[in-house]
Amino acid sequence: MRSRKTWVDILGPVFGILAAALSVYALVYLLWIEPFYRGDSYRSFEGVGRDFTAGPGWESQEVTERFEGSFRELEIRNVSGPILIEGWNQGYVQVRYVKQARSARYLEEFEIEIEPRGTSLSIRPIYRNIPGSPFGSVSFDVKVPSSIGEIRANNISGNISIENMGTGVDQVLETVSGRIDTERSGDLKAKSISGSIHFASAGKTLDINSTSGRIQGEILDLEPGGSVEIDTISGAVELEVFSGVDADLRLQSVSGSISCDFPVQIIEQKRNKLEGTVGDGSIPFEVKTVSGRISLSR
Amino acid sequence: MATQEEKIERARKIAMKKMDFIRHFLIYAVVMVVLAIINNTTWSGYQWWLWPALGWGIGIVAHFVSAFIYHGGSLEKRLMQRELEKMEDEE
Repeated sequence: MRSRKTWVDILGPVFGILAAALSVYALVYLLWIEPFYRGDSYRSFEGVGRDFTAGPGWESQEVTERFEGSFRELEIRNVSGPILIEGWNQGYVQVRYVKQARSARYLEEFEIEIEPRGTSLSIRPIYRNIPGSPFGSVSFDVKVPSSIGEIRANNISGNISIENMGTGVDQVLETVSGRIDTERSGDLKAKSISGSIHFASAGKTLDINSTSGRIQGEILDLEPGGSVEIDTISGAVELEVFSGVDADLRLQSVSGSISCDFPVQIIEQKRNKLEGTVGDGSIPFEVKTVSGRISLSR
Repeated sequence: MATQEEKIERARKIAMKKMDFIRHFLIYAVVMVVLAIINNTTWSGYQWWLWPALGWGIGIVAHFVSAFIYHGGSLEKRLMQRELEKMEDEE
């Protein structure tokens, strides 16, 4: 006599078919409908504005706009993607940006607002449905007259690069995760939570702050009445300073060495601390790191 | 010809395999539902939870086949017979 089928005999094949159907759906979704190419495309996208080619599986939209006017200040914000600002000898500002998202519909979920306000130009992406909205990145390549007075750039995830600027351009640069790189600046304030900072400055004040990342820079000039304040939690600080600096030097590293090429009138010196004056000592010059060496060279 | 004891042992193994598969599938289903909820409450775009659904799903299907469809066929029996004959020849 043949026994009746149990619930296991009925549910088993049902579950097996369900698992097979879900696996097939996942395979189709992942390989055909939404290919997983984000890693590759993002790496090429990270080329600080050089490579604007979106990877396969991404939709992109490239826009170039031109703004006439004598702008003294540029303010640019981004959430994800690199910001590149270049100085040029033209009299207008050119904003070139590439939006990237997983589909054309997602691409419409955010837009770029470029707003001239008197002598300042403000640029920022506006996301409609945050939080939980589809992710979209923007890569900015902005060309401004080299004579512009001030640049303020703020990024969440992405590098900030400033190239070909005059020494009279004051800069305030902040990113949470990304590298900051400025070829030349006037007064400079740069802050990165996770990422290295490279700079060359010739302004009155220098304020550099990094939580995790190396700080490397050139101080080409320091105007009288200025100050230098550099600190990082985890990372070395390497500075090249012009020969005639007059600094009230305070260098301190909790777990790292200190080297200084300048003749210092020493007030206090330990393995990880150096206080003293260089020249007439008129400019406060403070460098602090918790984990990393400090190097001051000419 | 299999003895009654062998038949009972074989039936027990098959029943255990079937129950194991049911348990395996239920765990899979619960984990995937949780991952899908996390995916869609934090990020409504890309369905990343389908990656573990695919990988684990292939394992589930293989488990289903071994529990419900293929319990060891005639080839397995022939191989067993051949090994037994070899042992007898050696003795």
